[in-house]
Amino acid sequence: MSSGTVLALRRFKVAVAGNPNVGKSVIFNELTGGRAWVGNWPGVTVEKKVGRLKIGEHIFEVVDLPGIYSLTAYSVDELIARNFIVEEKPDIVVDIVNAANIERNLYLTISLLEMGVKVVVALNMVDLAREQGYEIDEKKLSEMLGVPVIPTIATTGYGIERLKEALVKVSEEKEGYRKLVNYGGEVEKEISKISRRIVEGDPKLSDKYNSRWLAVKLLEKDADVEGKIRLSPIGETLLSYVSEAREKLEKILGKDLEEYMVEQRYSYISKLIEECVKILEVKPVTLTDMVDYVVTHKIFGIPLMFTALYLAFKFAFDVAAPLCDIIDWFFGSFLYSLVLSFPLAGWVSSLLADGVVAGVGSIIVFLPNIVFIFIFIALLEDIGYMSRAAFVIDKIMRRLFLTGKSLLPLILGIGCNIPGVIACRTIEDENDRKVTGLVAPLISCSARLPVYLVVAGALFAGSQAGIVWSMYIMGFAFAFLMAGVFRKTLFKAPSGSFIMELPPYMAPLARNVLIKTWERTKRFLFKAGTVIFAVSVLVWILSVTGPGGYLTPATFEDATLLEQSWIGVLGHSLEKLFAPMGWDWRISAALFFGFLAKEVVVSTMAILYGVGEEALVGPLASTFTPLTAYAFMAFVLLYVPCLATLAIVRGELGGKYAVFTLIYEILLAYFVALTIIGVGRLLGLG
Amino acid sequence: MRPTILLLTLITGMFYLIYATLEFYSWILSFTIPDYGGSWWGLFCQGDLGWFISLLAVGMILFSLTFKRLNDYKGFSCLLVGSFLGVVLLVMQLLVVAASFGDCAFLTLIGEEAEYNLAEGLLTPMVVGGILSTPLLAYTLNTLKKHRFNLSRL
Amino acid sequence: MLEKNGKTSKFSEGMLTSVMPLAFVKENSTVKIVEVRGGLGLTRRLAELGLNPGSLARIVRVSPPGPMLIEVEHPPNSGNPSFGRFPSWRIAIGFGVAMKIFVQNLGVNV
Repeated sequence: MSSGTVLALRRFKVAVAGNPNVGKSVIFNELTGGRAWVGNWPGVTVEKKVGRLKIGEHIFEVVDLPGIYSLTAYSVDELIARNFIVEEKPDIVVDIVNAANIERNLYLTISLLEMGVKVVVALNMVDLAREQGYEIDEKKLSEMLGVPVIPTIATTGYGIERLKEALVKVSEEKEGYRKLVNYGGEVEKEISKISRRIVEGDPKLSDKYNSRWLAVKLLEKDADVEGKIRLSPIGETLLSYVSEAREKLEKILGKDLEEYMVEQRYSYISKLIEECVKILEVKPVTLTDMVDYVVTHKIFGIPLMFTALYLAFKFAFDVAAPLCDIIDWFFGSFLYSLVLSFPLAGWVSSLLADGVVAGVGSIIVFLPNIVFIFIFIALLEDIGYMSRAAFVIDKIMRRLFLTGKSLLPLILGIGCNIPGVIACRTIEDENDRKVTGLVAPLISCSARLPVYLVVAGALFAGSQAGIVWSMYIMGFAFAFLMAGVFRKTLFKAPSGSFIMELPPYMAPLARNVLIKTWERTKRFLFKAGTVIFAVSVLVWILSVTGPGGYLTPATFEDATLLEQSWIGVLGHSLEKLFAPMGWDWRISAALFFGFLAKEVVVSTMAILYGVGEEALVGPLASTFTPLTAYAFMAFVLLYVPCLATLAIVRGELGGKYAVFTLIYEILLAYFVALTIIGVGRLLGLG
Repeated sequence: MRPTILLLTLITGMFYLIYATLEFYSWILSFTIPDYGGSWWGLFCQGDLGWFISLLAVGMILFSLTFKRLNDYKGFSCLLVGSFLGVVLLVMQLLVVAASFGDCAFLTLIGEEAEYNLAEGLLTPMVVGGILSTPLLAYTLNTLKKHRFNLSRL
Repeated sequence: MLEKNGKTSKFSEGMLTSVMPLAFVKENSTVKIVEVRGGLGLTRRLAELGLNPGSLARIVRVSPPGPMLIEVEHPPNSGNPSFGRFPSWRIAIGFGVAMKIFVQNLGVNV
């Protein structure tokens, strides 16, 4: 617990708990000043945030627990929270209760108090509650619960100072367990009996855990607690006693004991609400009701969703366009010539200009697109629309063997596949999550866009836009197709049930939107800074050296010389693989490096043809026919996720799935490209 | 709901629906005639499927007021969401125009050839429809504020 | 209005029908949850969201075979008559889940 250290500083451990969507992270940021160490809880892909708060002589280590509704043993999130409270024994748990949805939120509060921890309740969003027509008497609530209740409005900072003061005050208090919920005569008798058995039979256990809590959990058949009891010397006898007690009680009550206990808790909460909540005015229809009427309408819902998507696209591509052009100029002309003007050795100059600037520049060009699409989506999320979109599209998605919650990962994938795969975490059903994660890399990301633009520009001059669009559509089409295939073969279990809470619409907070956007963009930037940088240098090195030794940067000018370099050798050996598609050694080499990062396909081709990227049109028009070009674009769309995405797939789904993704995508891409060429030739399209 | 508002809503709804159809038609035509850039009654239709869906959505929602009872919260909801969306489309199109113009300016600055027809961007159904939607949105928000968002007394 | 146990009740006693799956209830109806016939995980998840036996819910939106939108209502079990509708968040639940929740249809609430 607390330990007195240097200079009479007192250290305390604080956990922040609460339902999802209650403003927990905002309050966490307020308490820790926005500086937190972010990692993962051991063994799972759930994020763990730890921060620090110093008030006078008190130092609080603040840990953010995952958003949970209760403390059962049914989900990973709950177990993480529960185990943290039990094993690490935080001095205080700050429970963020959403005043605008107080009934549901108090369930967690009751569960926490039953565990015997010291709690401070932050009654958040009191302004929203007022808007919805009711007011909460926090003094009365505090009295009845026996813990401090601090009203807060996290978005404005209201109440945060009082919250901090409460933390200091409570840290000095002794632990006190209060019995709040009375489970009724018969059940209470059994709870006492079981509790006594634990205290007498295994004092170590009752020291570690609150014995009444253990008794209640055992009666609820909590698997985690049962496991702990089994390890105790009194384990087996106690468990069989509990089993008998359950049977007896269930007969008396006439229903499932767990169900009964949940009811009792809610019944207690009802009493709390009756005493502490005052209805100011009854509002039959709120703003959220009104908007939802239209947004979830049978007829309007889907067109609205497509409109939102379309606006996201427009914002991401048309409005960001000037920024892209500025960056393109900056890297392509300004920086490029600047580097070349430095008095450096020939090869260094070339490395910096042709390798680094050209390579990295070709990626950063798309940064505005990515940032803008993420901003728009984060905006929709913050307002609360995304959950409605998932709801509306769920029906259709299920026919396509995915779920409504799969929508967000796929849409994010348009910017960059990496946040798309990460977003699959929100899908609860394991099979749904895996299937979505496996098909997410098929969505055409911004990295593939330069390939389409250049190739379509060369071969399909008039209908460029349409061809590029067809690639995006193809990405989605194959995602749905493969989802169906996986569902019918590898993941046959029926799809998970759809249960989702729809929070009220709220005005977006710039800070939230920007933080979320940054979280998603930074992975792309990190990739640009590392993988692409390295690959660009690698491509350069392999172009100026060969089996015969160093060939000098003259290779960038002389095509025959280039063929003697390592890249040439690589290309020629891969050429046989792609012969049926009619792609030559340069294309083959470019595809190889595309595996590492799809962005470098175009810059590699530029190097291999010895031209600047704008002038690629010429050589491409002669090496491709429209048919082979289209097949090539399809291949680039579908073959293997880039290395960075593959690493994320491994992190989220496991190594097995990463390898599987690699293999199935190559096979799919090859097959599709071949089919396009085959069918095209049959139809006489050349 | 005042009858003038209702009338304006229906007209605006009709406007969106008509241009949505024209957009769709343009889209179909663009397959036969390359680089098709049509204009109807002074407004340019790009033949963009996305425009079609957006215009259709707003049109449907606003026009649905014909089938609703006037003092029902449902009708009011349609008016609110429909007019709001119309204004959003307007804002987005203005952003696109500004961006295209800026892009063009920048490109000429660095010596590349670029041109942009401002009229083509502004004389569009999104813009005109948005202008029509603005008073509707203003009315809706005003009424909501007056009744303090409590529609039982509408 | 019907007098029941000395408290006014909005719901006509004669409308208490037999138990049916939530999935088949029409829009705008109010139902009382009777039983959740699902795995423990499902029961628990629903209970956490306020959908346990005894809760009242209003059907907001139905779109079979897609998910339905419902709103949990605070049970008017107290003597406080103004406690008719306590605003709470809406929950979207899939058709499959709705098939496992058995309710008493209390009729269309005006």
